[in-house]
Amino acid sequence: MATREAGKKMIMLKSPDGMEFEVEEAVAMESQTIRKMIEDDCADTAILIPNINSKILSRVIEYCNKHVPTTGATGAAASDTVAPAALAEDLKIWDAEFIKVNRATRFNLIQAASYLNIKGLLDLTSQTTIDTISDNSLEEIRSFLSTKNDYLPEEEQTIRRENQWAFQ
Amino acid sequence: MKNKNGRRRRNLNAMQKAARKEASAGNGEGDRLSKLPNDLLLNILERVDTLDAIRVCVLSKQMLKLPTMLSQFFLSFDSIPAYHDKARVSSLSLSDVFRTNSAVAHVTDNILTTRSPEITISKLKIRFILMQPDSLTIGKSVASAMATQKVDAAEFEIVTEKPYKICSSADLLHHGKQFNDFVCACPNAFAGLRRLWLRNMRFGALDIPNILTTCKLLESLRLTHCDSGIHSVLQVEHAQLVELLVDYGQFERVELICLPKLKHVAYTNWSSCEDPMYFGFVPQLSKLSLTKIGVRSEKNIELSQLLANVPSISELHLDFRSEKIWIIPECPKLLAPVLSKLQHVNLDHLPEGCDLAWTMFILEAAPSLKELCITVWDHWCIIFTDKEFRKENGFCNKADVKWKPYAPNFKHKNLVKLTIYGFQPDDNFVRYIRCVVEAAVNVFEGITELHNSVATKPVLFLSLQFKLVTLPNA
Repeated sequence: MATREAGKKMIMLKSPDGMEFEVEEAVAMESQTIRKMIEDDCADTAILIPNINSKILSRVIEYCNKHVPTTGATGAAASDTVAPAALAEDLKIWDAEFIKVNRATRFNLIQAASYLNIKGLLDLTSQTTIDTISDNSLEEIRSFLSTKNDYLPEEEQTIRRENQWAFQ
Repeated sequence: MKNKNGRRRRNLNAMQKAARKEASAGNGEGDRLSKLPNDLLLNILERVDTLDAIRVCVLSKQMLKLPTMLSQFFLSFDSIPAYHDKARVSSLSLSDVFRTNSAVAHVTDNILTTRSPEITISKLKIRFILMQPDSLTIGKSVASAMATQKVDAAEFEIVTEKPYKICSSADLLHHGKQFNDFVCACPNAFAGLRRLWLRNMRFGALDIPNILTTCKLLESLRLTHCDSGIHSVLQVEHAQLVELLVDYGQFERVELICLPKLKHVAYTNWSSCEDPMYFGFVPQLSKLSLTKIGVRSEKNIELSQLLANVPSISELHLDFRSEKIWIIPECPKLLAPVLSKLQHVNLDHLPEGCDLAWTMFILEAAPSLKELCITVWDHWCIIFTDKEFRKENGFCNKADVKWKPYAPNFKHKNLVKLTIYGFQPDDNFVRYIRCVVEAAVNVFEGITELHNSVATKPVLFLSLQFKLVTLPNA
């Protein structure tokens, strides 16, 4: 239900585990998926977000809240005196804190960001995942990404022979 | 592509511990990378170079097929684990680099022949050492991929076995010949190439024009330490070229004869004593960057002469490397016709302690200017300090550039932003800012940023009332 609070249009988001989140429309529209629903007028009642549990959804909303452009009611920039560069720097620091989560949460956030089409969050979570792999040995990568070694011994031998360079 | 952040290594142990803890405490499934759907895995893998992506994919059978589905490739001879890690790099030898170069060739060939041809290659960038048989393998497999698959943007960045520092003139000639042979052996790869970066090569007079004829789709060409002999003239004609970057080299002059699509030119450290460039038919040229350590014997540039044929420039970047100012302030009458489209000017590495008033000549002659960015910085990493060396090579001592306003009450209506890096709250800067702000009546409406060093956030802003305001956290 789109309601009004302090002059701002609100939107209700529901997670499959029954939690409801009331967020500003502008915040919800950080998600291109939700933006499209709103623009196509499919969002008159609460929007159910499938596959994203309340814990992850609340983190996603937290991210969108921080990243929604700071515009006032008139659409003018909130402040004339804060440089865009300084704002971007603050956001980067905030992002770095935000992404300090365990791996399972991060992978859930990747999927949520993909489904909801939030490019910034998808970039952040994907980049964080891959940042750790250059400069590390294969075993370090395997342990860090928790990739299961699902080869049979003879298969692994073939792989090692064919991609010898990668195992050096 | 690669995050060269040393911080990562220090945190690794902590991360590994955390990872093990997670693995043992977790359900063992939800936190597994390979559990993500393929499109998300590909999105992640395309953020690193292809060799690293494959290093991840060979870890499990399930992920092994992913490299054939990649649509972006970046392969590089320096993609060696630990190559960017200062603590471990000392244990690497030249043979590690050559071995990786061979791996680049092997993987290029392997991946281009086994990948799904229906997936368009949106980007294919290969950085490799010009040595056989690796180069030939790369050239042939790229050529056959171009013939059988859709390749949107292919890019070669070619380095030579010997770095420039230890190259003799004969080495440069040898590299030039090696490259010519390479182009002759794989003309089809070069015919489809969009971007090319060459280093350390000396060509014959007709070689570069011939290369440009072969690379008929080329959009960007960069030449570093390349030329066609000392005091040679490079004449460039190309139907598609959008960007031309030249650094160093012994050209007397680069002549842009006919480049209908050219938009961006950058020339760094030319060796000529005269104007380094001639602009012919370049109707779309909008961005020009010139970087040079000026010395006494060289002629200063008059923009009205240099740019006489290119009134289309909208962005001008001049970098003085903390040394002599090598352009001459000119009167607006001469200069205005060539600067009428100019909107952004960046004056970089102006020597510290010198009067800045001369830069006003640009404002006077460029009525459309919107942004002016000035960096005042004696950058000690690039300045030659040895007195004898400076004397021998004709370096100049600091001196103010002479200038006086042509129209004392001149007003500029379009400048909205002035940014100064290396700001010091001294008379020199305050006088200069007052001068700009008095002339540029609209700069009040915009932002004036003053940074006291290049890397920091602005320390001061000019508020609407031209009051210096200190920012929080500065």
